[in-house]
Amino acid sequence: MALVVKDLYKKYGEKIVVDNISFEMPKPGVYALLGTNGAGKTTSIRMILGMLDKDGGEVTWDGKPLNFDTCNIGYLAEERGLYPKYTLIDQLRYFGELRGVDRKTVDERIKYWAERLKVEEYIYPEKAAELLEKQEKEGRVRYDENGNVIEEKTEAKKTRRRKPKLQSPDQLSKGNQQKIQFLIAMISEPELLVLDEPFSGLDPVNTDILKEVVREQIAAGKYIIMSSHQMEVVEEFCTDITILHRSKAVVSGNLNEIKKARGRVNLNLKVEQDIASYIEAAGVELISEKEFEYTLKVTGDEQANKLLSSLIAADIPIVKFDLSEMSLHEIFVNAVGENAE
Amino acid sequence: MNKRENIYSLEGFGKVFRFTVSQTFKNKGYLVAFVMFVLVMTFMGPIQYLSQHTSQSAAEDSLSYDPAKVEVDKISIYNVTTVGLQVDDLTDLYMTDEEAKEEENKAGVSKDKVQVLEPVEEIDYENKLADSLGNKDVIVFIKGAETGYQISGVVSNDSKVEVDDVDGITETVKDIYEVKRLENSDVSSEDVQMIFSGVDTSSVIEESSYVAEENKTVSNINYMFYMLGFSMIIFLVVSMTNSYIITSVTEEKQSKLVESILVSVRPMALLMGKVCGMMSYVILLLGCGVIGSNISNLVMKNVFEISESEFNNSGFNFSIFKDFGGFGFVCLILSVVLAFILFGTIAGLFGSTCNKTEDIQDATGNVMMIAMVSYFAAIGVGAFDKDIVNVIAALLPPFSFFTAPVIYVTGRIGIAVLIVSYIIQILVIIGVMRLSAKSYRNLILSDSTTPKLKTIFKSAKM
Repeated sequence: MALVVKDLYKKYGEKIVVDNISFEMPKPGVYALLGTNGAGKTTSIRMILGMLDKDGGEVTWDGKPLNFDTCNIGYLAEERGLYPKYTLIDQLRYFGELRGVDRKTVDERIKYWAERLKVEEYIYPEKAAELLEKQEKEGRVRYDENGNVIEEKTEAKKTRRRKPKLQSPDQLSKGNQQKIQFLIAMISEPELLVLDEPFSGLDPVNTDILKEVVREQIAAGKYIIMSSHQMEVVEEFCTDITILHRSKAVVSGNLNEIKKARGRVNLNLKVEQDIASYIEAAGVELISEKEFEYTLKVTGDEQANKLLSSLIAADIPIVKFDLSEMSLHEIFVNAVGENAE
Repeated sequence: MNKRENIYSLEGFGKVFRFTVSQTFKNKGYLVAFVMFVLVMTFMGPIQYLSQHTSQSAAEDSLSYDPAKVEVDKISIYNVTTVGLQVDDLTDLYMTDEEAKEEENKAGVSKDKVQVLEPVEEIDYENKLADSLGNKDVIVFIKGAETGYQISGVVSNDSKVEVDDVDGITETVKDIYEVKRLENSDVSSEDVQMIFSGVDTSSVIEESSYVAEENKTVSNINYMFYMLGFSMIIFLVVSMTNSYIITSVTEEKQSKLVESILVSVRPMALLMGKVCGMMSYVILLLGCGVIGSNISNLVMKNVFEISESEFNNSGFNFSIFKDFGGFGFVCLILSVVLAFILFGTIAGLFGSTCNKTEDIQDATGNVMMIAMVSYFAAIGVGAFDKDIVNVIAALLPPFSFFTAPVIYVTGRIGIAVLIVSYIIQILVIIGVMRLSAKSYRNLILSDSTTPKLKTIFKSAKM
């Protein structure tokens, strides 16, 4: 299997919104499609998935034009939503059916993913009832500061039997709606998973849950295209990137190679005295300083070694000397900055 | 190579259709509307009949005359016409002797309380008679007038006779006088009816027009009612579902769900699944309405012993679907389906242009405008009932969606014209569907559209 995007091109009227974008995913992994706002990421994704007509270029999956007939696609769109009036179980089954999954398998997958993503109480009435009962029970028990039960009002009043009512989809929090959307994307166990801003709006706990799922999908040999503004998250998963700026690809390729090509330029240095004069003498750019811990920008290994040699020669004790490559964030900012007019 | 996918593919249609149907019937509003509609259609006949019957009975009761219940001292008939009237002729005005004997305290109107006065040629004699009335006396004057006869019941100013009783006396005298008048003329009542029914005349007409006229299976007035009824059904079908389809499409667009859906189903299948899903609800509603209407007629026939023809509730009671046989039914249902597909697709297209709640109102208004113009045009065609107008209305879309089957089943156009009409209608639908296939996806993914026809055509070129 391989995904090939070749010379993707789109214009609205006279305005070019995607200008000959090409990339390949010859093997499973995560490909990051990054870009500034309005750079053409969403339009590119829509064309890749066959939602929008292309004015030029082609997208193939295993040599055939990519669409939902030739590839099992899962898609988490950037702008998410649910049918406000239909029950979640109906919606999930509908999406499962649309993807050609039989009812029994759909129900099994919904159950599995609901448990994994911790959204069962929004899908199943009995789970909602369990939660309600638990909350009521907790409400009847008081604890002291050491966690011991000091009052249990089990006989105080009988709990009125209430028919458990599920929250309507539009009452769900943004994070929970997002998890349900992720469940929809996963319902057909896709070969190609496209995640547009998958972690935005999630709290740290849910971010960790979703990250764990993404790691599992990578391990399972899935092809993932990820678009996000959270560079550190993308960097954690992706092997290859394309950075879009004003409808053009300004950086594209393997992330390690891109980093290697830009050299090791970030120097984190910790000493026990002021070394400002040595930094200036070596022609190194000072980014920040806090209690003799310096964040520096060097032009490469040579400049870093020159600074290190001067410090050693002056008998200055070095606590930390960490020379590292550019972060994805820096690569992105540099690429966009260089191409800014 | 830019290989385009088949935008007309309906793959996935069935899944969208099933989901739409199931969610429509899970929607409480639509379920309640369905039940209410079927109940109204089922009970409309008996309720309408009972309310009419009750008011009719009340009216008849107030005018009925029972001599045993009328409290008067004397009833005088002053007849100055040439139609002779005797007390013995006025048997309906008083009780029989046996009945009079049974009455206690000489209550009611007995024969001896009724008198026929001889005409007197004296100026102001009638005024004198009127002035001499006691407070429990009634006098009925019968005299000639310019346009026939005049019969008036008169009481004194301080009369204690009930107004309804005076009306009853006057009406009874009138009925007796009518019969007497016909007897004197030696003419039967049937003959009189024929004399007054009049004669229709026609100018010289061509043979073909004459044959066409002869082939008309229903009269002009019934044609108008059938056209009114059927176009109202189409209009109701369109208006009931128009806003649902627009709202449903807009909801999908606003929620951004459509992006998730479009990776699983072609846009054409998505739109048509929605339209046809909603149509099945409406067709089922109409079917149940027809069944309800038949139950209503059965109840009328078996419980109230009133035949369908006697109880004339033609108009919006689905009678048109059963009045023209199986083929007529098929034609009418086919037109409902075609109209639904056309207006449903247009509604879906307009729905896909909406980005805000206000847009939904504009979009609904635009579709309703097209439907309303067609509806009023159909009513006009029904009222006008001219051959050339009928043919044009049967062939010209969108009016033909409302008019063609009615014009055919009522014998105003032949099967050939109807077939041509259907071909044109289907071509129009194909045209709108092709436009949808090109526009729908672009519109539904765009945030900068407005509910205008121009927007729809422009997006087809994108």
